[in-house]
Amino acid sequence: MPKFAVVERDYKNVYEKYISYGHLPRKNGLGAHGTHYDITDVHDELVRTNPSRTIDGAEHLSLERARDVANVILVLATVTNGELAWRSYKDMEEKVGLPLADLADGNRNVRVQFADLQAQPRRLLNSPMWSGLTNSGRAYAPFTYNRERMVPWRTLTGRQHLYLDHPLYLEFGEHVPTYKPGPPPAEFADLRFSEKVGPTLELNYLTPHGKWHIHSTYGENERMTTLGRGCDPLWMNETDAESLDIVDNDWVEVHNDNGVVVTRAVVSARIPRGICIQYHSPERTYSIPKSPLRGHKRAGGHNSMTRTRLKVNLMAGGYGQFTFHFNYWGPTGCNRDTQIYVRKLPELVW
Amino acid sequence: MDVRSQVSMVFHLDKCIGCHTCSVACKNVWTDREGTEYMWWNNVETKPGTGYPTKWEDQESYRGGWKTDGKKLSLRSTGKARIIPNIFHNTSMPSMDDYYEPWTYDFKELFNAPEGDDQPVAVPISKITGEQIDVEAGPNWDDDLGGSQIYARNDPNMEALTPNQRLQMMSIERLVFFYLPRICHHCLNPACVASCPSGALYKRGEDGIVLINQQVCRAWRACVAACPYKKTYYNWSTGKSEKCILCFPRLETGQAPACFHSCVGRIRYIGNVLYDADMLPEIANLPDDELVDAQRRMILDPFDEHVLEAARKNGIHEGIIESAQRSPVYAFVKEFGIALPPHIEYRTFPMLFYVPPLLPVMSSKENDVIDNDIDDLFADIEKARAPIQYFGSLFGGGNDGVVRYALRKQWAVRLVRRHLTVGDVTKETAERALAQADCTWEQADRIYRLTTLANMDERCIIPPFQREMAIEMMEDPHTHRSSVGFGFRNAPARGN
Repeated sequence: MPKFAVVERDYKNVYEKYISYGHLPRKNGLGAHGTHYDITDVHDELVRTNPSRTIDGAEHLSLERARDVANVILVLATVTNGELAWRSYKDMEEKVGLPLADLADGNRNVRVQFADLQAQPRRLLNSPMWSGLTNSGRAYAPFTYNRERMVPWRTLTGRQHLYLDHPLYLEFGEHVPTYKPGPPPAEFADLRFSEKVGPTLELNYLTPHGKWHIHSTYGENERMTTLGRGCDPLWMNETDAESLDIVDNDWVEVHNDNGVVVTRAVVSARIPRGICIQYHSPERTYSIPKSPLRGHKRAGGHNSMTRTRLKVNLMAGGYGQFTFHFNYWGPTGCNRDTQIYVRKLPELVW
Repeated sequence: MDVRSQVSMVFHLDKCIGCHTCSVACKNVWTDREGTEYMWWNNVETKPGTGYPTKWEDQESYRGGWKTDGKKLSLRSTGKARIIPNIFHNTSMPSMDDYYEPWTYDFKELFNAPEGDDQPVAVPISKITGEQIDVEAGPNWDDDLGGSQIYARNDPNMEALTPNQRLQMMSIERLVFFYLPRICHHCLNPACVASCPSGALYKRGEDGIVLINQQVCRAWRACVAACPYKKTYYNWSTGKSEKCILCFPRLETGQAPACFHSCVGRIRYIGNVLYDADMLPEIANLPDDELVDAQRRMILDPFDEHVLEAARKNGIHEGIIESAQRSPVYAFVKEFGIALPPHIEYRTFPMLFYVPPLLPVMSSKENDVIDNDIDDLFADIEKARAPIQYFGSLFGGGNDGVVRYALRKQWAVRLVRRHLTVGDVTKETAERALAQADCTWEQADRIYRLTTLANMDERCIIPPFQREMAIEMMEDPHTHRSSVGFGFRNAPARGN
């Protein structure tokens, strides 16, 4: 039976609550990645020194101005408040049974606030929330904390391990990180209703991260569009392209049951035959023509042709590191590839 | 001996990831103005490829750099026979088709489009005409396209290869590419300076930085045609030509140039070297394949007493000498011998040197067994995916030997590190490799450190520019102080 929790909404005060910092962190403490630290005194000091708001007679930290939000985060985080980092190591000492707080000894007096960051960049402090040791100007490298201070990895065995013996993983053949072939084209089942119109190739369509942008961020400014091709092109193999009479920079129309993309082709021997790539993600605000196959409606982006498929082994839970945590462990939508039809665009319509 | 100091550069190509942070840093600082849209004082090219402007290395068509008859140098781009017929139009000068038509998008459309049943979109428009255009070229058009029919196969350096080698380089199993970041080379024998009919270009005496005087430039654009690296650009708005200034305002305040400072892969090294300007006339006409060694001979040992004496006689300040002694460029170019000038056969004697990329070493596969056999120490270099002749054309003036030397030494350093850190290479093997690569343990350690561990202070040795003293010679420093720091007081204008 799933857990149910009653949530009461105080609609009259929704905005007031939105711009004030609640008292639960003060009561429960903060932490992530298995760490925990108390913030009572730091919180109360903040309430005294920073802008606050009164709700039902109680003082709350104000989150009304962006600068205040930044300061609340900086003062309550272990990487910018040395005292809290020290406390968090103390907490880990109890869990691990090894001395660790010395890692923060030298930093206990360090506080970084927003004005400090405006003045100059600052180094983040050592914190047990992260696995790198950065004291004395050392560059961050993951797992130095585990390796040098003998802190167990947060896995079932406490070690780095490659073999996953969960029954679900065994059954799926995912117990060791070795090469696994992709599913056969038909299993994508994304070409059941699509029809080939004119000379067409069926290709495997991949949508990996791009060189030029983080998803769509940074991709559409003038520098990046100029250093790229002014759009998110479709990379395809030269022999495949030749069979469709497509040369580099020609417009192509790519489609399947889910959607359609109209973009330019980049033709290269670097792409193996049978595969094409479009980096994610194009912005549909620029350089997206209309699609003749869809009655001249505006064509889509890379995700127009993929769909979410939940990966079943990621649903395994309650077993060591296979424990659900929001945005850390749980089923992801593996929507990065599928099968598509590609053809030369018969007419360019903006 | 005429000793001079030259600020020089080394780019370590094995470390370049092609992120273009340098290009963006440069563009944001210097060429974000009207008239400079197409200027990329710093650009990064994918090699093999055609580069920017397209096929800039093809001097048969662009006629950049110098040619020699064995006795005397002359500019390829101009001369008595060419100057009059080409006075209004120099046929070898790159045109917009060789660069690209700068574009943006009609973003207003997203807000102003009439209501309809479909989403509006911003179409590409020319930054020159404002009209809608079909984007067909850009400053980085062949990015990551090693192996493409149109770009990689038209790389002028491919001519050094046999048809079979060319074919191999394009086959999927051996396909290879690397990045070539490019800025002005601040050459010792700059063709751009020699070509200018107005005398607007000059090479600064104290550091060798090549600059264009915006007050003197008369828009002949002879420098654009003469520079074999195509690193001067014509500004259509001011009617003057412009080029990389090696961020001299930053250098003069002890900061690395923007492209060096921002380099993510930390591939860029800057430092000054002392050289003997008297040697230039005698080596300028040597055969192509002797030029790399000859240029190295010009670069002088900054610890040699005779050199120091001559340097002091020429008025080179002790601070400049001291920084030359710590120069990473001297180490890479002269001591290690692993940094090479690009296309020295253009005879401008570029002072930007490249450490050629070793490229991933391939395992061989026989009977489904992957073999990382390293008994045959340098077999991998000879079998490397990019034929050594390709690098010989790019960095050796056709002399493969200097490239082979640089690659073998780098490979030997890798074997040493492999011995020390992984342990699957024996000490005997590492020592054998060092001996065959003309390297010592000590030097291998220095190469390793300078390549991988050096921080900003070691990578960028900025000589102390004696600006205060230079100012004192000209005017009262207090008068000077109150008259600077407010940008251009009169904008360079056409016909000024």
